Amino acid sequence: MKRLFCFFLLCVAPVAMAQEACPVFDEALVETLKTQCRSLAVGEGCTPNAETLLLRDESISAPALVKVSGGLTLAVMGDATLTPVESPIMLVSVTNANSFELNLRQGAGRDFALAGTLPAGAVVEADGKSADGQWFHLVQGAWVFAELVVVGGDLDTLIVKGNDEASVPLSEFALVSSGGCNDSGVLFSVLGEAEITLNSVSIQANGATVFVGISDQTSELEIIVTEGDVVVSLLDEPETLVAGESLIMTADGLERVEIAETRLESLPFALVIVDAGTPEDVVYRYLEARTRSSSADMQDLSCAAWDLQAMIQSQSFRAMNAELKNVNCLANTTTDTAQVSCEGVIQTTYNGQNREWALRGFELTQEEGEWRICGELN
Amino acid sequence: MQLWRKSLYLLTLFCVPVFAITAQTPPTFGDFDPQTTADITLGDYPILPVLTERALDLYTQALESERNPAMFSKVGDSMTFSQSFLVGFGTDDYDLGDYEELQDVVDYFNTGEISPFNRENYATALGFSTASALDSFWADSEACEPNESPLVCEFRASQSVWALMMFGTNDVMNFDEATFDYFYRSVIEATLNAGVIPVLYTFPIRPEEPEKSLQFNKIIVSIALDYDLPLVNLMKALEGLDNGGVDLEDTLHLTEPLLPLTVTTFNEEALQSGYTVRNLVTLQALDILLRDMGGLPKDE
Repeated sequence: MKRLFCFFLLCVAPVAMAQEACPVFDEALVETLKTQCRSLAVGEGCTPNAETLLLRDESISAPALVKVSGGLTLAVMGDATLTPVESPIMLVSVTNANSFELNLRQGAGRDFALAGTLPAGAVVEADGKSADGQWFHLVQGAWVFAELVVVGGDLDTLIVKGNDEASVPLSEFALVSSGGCNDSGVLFSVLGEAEITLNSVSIQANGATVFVGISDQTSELEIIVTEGDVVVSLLDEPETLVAGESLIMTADGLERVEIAETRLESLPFALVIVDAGTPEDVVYRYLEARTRSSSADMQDLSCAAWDLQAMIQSQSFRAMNAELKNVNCLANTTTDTAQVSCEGVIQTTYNGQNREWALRGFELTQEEGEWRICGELN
Repeated sequence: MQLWRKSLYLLTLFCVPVFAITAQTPPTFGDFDPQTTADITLGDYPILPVLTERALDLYTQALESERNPAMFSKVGDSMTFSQSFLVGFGTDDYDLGDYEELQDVVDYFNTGEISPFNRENYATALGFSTASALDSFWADSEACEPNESPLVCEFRASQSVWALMMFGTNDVMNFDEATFDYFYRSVIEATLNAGVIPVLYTFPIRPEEPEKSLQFNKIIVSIALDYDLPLVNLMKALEGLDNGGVDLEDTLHLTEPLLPLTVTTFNEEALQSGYTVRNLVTLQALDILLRDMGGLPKDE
């Protein structure tokens, strides 16, 4: 989480705002959020008052950080409010085609308490799946092990559910401004690919830094890209924006506009340096990818010499139901190498037994200008 | 039940090596060809191993490099990590029953200060898979070197000659065939590079994945054949037991006899449980291999 604050760390001046009540994303505010939002989970937002908000349950107003997905955290600024838009819940049928009854669990894992049984031959409906796809969430609220049932329907339509509602990923939001503050909206930066829908406008960002402003007068969205590229779509009409380009969503659709120099200077993100590829950030994302057993993501974050080990590591926790707990990494960096030590643990649950794995440090090197994991420290 | 086991045991004592040594190239991920296991019928392979030429070569090399011939490593998942796997033979808590000829092999491995039957291993763990064995993150941070896999750490720390290796129970629920084949071959490569003799086991059928379990066991057999290694066909040894010796309340593990019987009690009743059978065939396998290699005197 903390890596996202790197976006704001080098603010050089507070943003001039129209009114005193409008929060300014200055260094003090960033530091506060950095402390309070250290362990922000997907589907959660947090405020400078250390208030953790469940995105699924409530709107989140600025100033706040909102973790939409593993690689996408929004800074909610000005007087903007973000409200999730529920997608229609898709169902698939689930059949116990075995000759024996199956255990139902209270969570997605064998360590969770029994929640009943599914008789042989029973057909029920699932409305979600676990992030790793190994468990289905049934409409009656219990979980069943996916490999033991026969599915009727398209698994891709099932939403991913967590054991708690906070981890339910959401990607569609209503963004509104209550009025009075300049530059209200959300700012985000992604290293890889991420997608979000705001006020029915789909924004697909690729290695991009984006500001999406909202006007309280007209409810128009203003989309400004300062890094990377972005595909913006309204009613399946895509427009591609690259760094330095902007769109405004009007009643007539999306209208490409030029960004005035003065406009860029007035925006909060014009005052920040985007630097999400720090050694700490790379290690955090590597560890996070490990909990998802994502070989591709881990290999992307590894040097060539560590590529095979990254692939092995991506697979060795597959049975373990892993999650990160209280991870905080610090780097000791030279020009070409970095040593990153991490506090916190990976918690695993296997066959009902919890285990905490202390994190080791990592050695990183620069490859093609990017920090890459290249070994472990003891 | 005992008779057929003894018959098989005696039969295999007189078997001659049938596998030819073949030079194996290190595995490449994605190279798995399902046809390589198409002709394998698991039931055709004996429960107990035969001494292979490669195993004999490795044994000779291991003695020359002063590895400890009375030391074996346990390598595998929770069924191998378990206190029910062989531990009683290191704590003098066993009853060989009608298998008293196995006393020699028990004594052989209990000659040193540390008994491999009950020593702490660095290559077994709950949730362990073929990938875990290669992943330095799973290595004991106090006993192992930075970037050292648990497998290599175990072989360095123990100076063992043998690796009793059983994988599959976790792998079958998480990997596809190609991945399992690749990781298992990588484990074998690392073991051979350490100068240790892998003794492979087929694993008990997971009731959740019976067909895939069979296919994974065929992969294990094909690896044993390709590398010319001793194989314990545990799955076959368990066939006569209820549910293949698997505890249906906990399908990750084998069944155990009810107290006062133990998994190291070799009588007819205790041998109805999975762990007891695994312990028996393991001692029998070690007995065969040691006698054929000259580590123990041959029977008259």
